[in-house]
Amino acid sequence: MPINFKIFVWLLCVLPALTNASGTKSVDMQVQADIHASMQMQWHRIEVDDLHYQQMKNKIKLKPGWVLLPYGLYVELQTNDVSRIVSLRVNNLISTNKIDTIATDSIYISHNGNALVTAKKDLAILDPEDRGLLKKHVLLFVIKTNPTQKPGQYLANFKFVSNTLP
Amino acid sequence: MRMLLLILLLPMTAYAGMMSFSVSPSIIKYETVQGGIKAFDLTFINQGDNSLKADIQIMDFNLDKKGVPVITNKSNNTGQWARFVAIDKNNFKVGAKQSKKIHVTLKTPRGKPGGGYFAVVFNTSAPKLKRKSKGIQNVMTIGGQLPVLFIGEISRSGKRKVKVLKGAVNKAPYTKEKPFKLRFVLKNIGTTHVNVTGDVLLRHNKKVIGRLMLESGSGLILPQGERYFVATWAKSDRYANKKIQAEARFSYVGGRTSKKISFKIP
Repeated sequence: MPINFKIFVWLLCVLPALTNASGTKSVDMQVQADIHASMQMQWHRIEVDDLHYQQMKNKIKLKPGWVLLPYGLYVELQTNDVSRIVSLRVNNLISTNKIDTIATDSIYISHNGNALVTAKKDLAILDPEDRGLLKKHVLLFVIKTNPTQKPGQYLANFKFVSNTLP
Repeated sequence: MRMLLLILLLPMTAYAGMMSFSVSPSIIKYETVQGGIKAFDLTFINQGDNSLKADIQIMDFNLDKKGVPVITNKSNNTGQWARFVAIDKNNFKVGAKQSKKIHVTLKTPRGKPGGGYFAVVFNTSAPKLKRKSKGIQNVMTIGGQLPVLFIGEISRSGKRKVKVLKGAVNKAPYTKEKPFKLRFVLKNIGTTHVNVTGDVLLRHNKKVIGRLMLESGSGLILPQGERYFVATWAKSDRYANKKIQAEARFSYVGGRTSKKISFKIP
């Protein structure tokens, strides 16, 4: 609960008593509370031997040439804002020598075991209807390989984009 | 086809994390005058147990047809005012349970009547840990992005005008999970933003058989933007094989518009 809201409740309880105690007959009081919209997220990487990984992996149908990355993300998200939408953004994978890239055109995401969707667009994972709920997400990543891609070690960059619907 | 090998070597601790933060306010609506200077304060609050690093950018913003903000790089496009905005800091670190204020200054442009829009975008990440080893670090990075939207207007200078581009119904069959829906696309052809509300009157044999609200969140449409307005009709099965006329009526400050479509429910 935001601190401001606690202060508001505290003032609501305490102020009338204080004003009575001071001996005044009446007081006009206006209290304004400001509750901030907030987003909370917690994540950890899941490996092949993780139960979440295994459960979701079994739901994905892979075709020849598609590679399921040997790790995924387990994310817990929560927001108190009714007009907030949270999306996952995946950037191009960049090799550790910063020479080669695997573009998002070749990257696909499975969200909670659902059908693969392209990583070219942000993937909405928290809707306004989910307000206040602690939503759990398992995200696995598939690369549709092609001969132009080079084997090696790549850097992955994920971002959770939180937007307020105006 | 050659198989691609991706080997990521970092220790597990680098792959777990937690962020809890907010920026207040998240939307700022304002009016200004040509050549005027407007100043705004934004507060970034780190509610988490770890410190956070924030990089701040001024960017353009638009809305897609569903009303979701689309943040893009600063441009010279009409109605985008990011290039007239300055901030007092571009990045900072905030300790756990701490907050930081940033100061945003807009120099309102001259000769650009109507609405002006921009976003102050907070890109957050956990500060990098200093490690003794020179090995590969941060093979996987995770961050958060939270934009503050600025919706402005030069007072009494904008033209408000909206037109209905098209109206359609979704394809049969209709079920509880996939009910009958009417969808209209509106375009703002004015020079400032509008908030549109609408409903749709359903008629059969010139007799009104229903009135549905058209839903589209706040109904905000930026200049040259388009937005969907959708109504769900739960009682459509009662009128199977009958010709229905739908009149969608939209209103906004300074005007109204409408569109008629007819259809037969299979």
